[in-house]
Amino acid sequence: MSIELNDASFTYTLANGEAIKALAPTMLTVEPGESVAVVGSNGSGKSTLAKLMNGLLAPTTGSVTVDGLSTANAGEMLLARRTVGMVFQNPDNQLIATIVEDDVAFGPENLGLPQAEIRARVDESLKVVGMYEYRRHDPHYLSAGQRQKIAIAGILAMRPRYMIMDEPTSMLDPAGRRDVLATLADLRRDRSVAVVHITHVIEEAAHADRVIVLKRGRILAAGKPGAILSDEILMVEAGLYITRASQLAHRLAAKGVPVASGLITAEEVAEALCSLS
Amino acid sequence: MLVELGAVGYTYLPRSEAAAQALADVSLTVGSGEFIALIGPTGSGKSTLVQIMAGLVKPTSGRVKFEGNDIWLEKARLPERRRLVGLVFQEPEKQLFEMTVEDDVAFWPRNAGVSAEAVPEMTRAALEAVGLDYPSYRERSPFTLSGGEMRRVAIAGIVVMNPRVLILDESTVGLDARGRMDLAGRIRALNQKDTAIVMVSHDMDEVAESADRVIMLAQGGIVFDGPPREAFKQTDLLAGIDLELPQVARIAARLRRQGLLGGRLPLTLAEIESDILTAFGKVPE
Ligand SMILES: Nc1ncnc2c1ncn2[C@@H]1O[C@H](COP(=O)(O)OP(=O)(O)OP(=O)(O)O)[C@@H](O)[C@H]1O
Ligand SMILES: Nc1ncnc2c1ncn2[C@@H]1O[C@H](COP(=O)(O)OP(=O)(O)OP(=O)(O)O)[C@@H](O)[C@H]1O
Ligand SMILES: [Mg+2]
Ligand SMILES: [Mg+2]
Repeated sequence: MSIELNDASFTYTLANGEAIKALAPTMLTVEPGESVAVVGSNGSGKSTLAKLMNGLLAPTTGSVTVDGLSTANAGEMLLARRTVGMVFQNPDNQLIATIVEDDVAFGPENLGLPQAEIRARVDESLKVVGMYEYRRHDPHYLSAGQRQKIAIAGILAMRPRYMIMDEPTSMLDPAGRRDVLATLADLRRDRSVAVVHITHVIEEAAHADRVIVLKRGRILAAGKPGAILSDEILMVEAGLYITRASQLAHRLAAKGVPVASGLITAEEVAEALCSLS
Repeated sequence: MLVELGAVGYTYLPRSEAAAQALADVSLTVGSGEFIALIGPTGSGKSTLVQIMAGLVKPTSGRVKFEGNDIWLEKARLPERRRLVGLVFQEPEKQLFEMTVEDDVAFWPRNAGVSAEAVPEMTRAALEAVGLDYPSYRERSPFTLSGGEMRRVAIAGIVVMNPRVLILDESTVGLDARGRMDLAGRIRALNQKDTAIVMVSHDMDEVAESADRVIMLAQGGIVFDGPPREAFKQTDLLAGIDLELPQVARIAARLRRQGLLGGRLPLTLAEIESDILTAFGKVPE
């Protein structure tokens, strides 16, 4: 079981015929229970990669399979979609119903689950994202962060084996962001869900098992977060930057304070400094 | 005062069952050259407030004045008065409506009487300032762009107006790290030339590094209005509305609990670096 990109590439064709090569032929495997963060500059191909993984786009060359089902085959793609949930970069692309709870129920209903099960999943998912009290509201009349939470609840209620999250916390406040990350971590541990998390927040990517850095549609680097995300030369080459906490660690190390390298979050750097005293 | 809000309230869908009060009794002023960060939890009313500050939404109660004039009293002059304030919407999709990137960014110059010959140059400069190559992007439809590219076009379309008050509603969201740093630099430069900036943000580091005034919103009301250093000392208030400290302040807070740091609460990298070097017996520059 896995999502596999086998030299999968994608090219958009504009109305005037111009071709935009968004993703070069790419090899990638994502297994259940894994968490993979994808980072890269604007236009580097992250959302295109996400849409290939859930079958929304079929590869221009090469193949994408989900548990052996090819997304290029319409019938197999529909089956594959049942196990791959996706949160879009713009949650509005995802809101379908005019009542929050109907919207969240849409995914489970398509899976043909019994009503009682759907009810239970919808309530649970809305509580997880802290939007249960808004269940009777029209999702179109909510703040941007609230709408993003509804989109996340919709995916949680489907309980897919793979979750592709395209900047899922971009509009959330710090507490909302923490809650989502904690929920994803629980799902991986308890239900072996795989999470592919696209983000511009480097601190968030630090929580993944594996980080992939995209640059102009190619994988520039892949590996453990500690090795990649604090590597200033690599990150700058990718059009990105290291966290403020990493910057501080580097500056202190350069001045003779023996802080280890590979630290990314504020908490890691703070603990490292405390252990020196 | 450029913008003045007096006891502003706002209720969505008034007179309906779903009526929701988004703002209550909000008063504030924005003066020339100020750099204000507006922070608050999800749903606290930030976007509603900035749309009222931009004169795009009429409050259900209270007054909105631009340069001393109540803007909702003389509707005929509203379009002209609105030019004082430029608002970059939280969601770029809601701001972009033309067929091409060029038309979108040129919309304001064309409608504000800029001479036809000057428009392409203004458009090119605005796009390049947000890191988009004019020849490759001008004819693209905004809806074929990546999220961050769309965000850049939306910013260009407002900055090209050169408003006296520039409001950015979470405009760094979706930008890559380089794009965020470039935008921060440009905003700072505009601010130094006396443009008032109002920045809505969930990124406390951004707030700590750039704003000289922080307004905290919770459940539709202002709960704090003061300098960043004071704002981030309000630990109870911040915890009560689930906001966090900037990375630098979080590191400092941990080191203080360990007894390693005392004194001021550092907010910038340079500040904490020098505090830590002193604490570890190294000589800061
Ligand atoms: N179009 C609307 N119709 C009805 N209620 C709305 C509408 N937009 C927002 N609200 C409600 O008004 C309140 C304030 O919303 P607003 O969008 O101003 O919040 P915000 O602070 O910008 O939140 P976020 O951080 O999520 O962007 C929220 O409780 C929201 O549910
Ligand atoms: N529908 C589309 N039609 C044509 N070109 C597109 C389309 N969507 C994306 N592109 C182009 O493909 C490239 C990759 O876009 P993609 O959305 O995958 O980038 P991304 O890494 O997700 O960027 P961002 O961080 O800005 O969201 C970009 O150059 C973009 O302009
Ligand atoms: Mg994207
Ligand atoms: Mg908002």
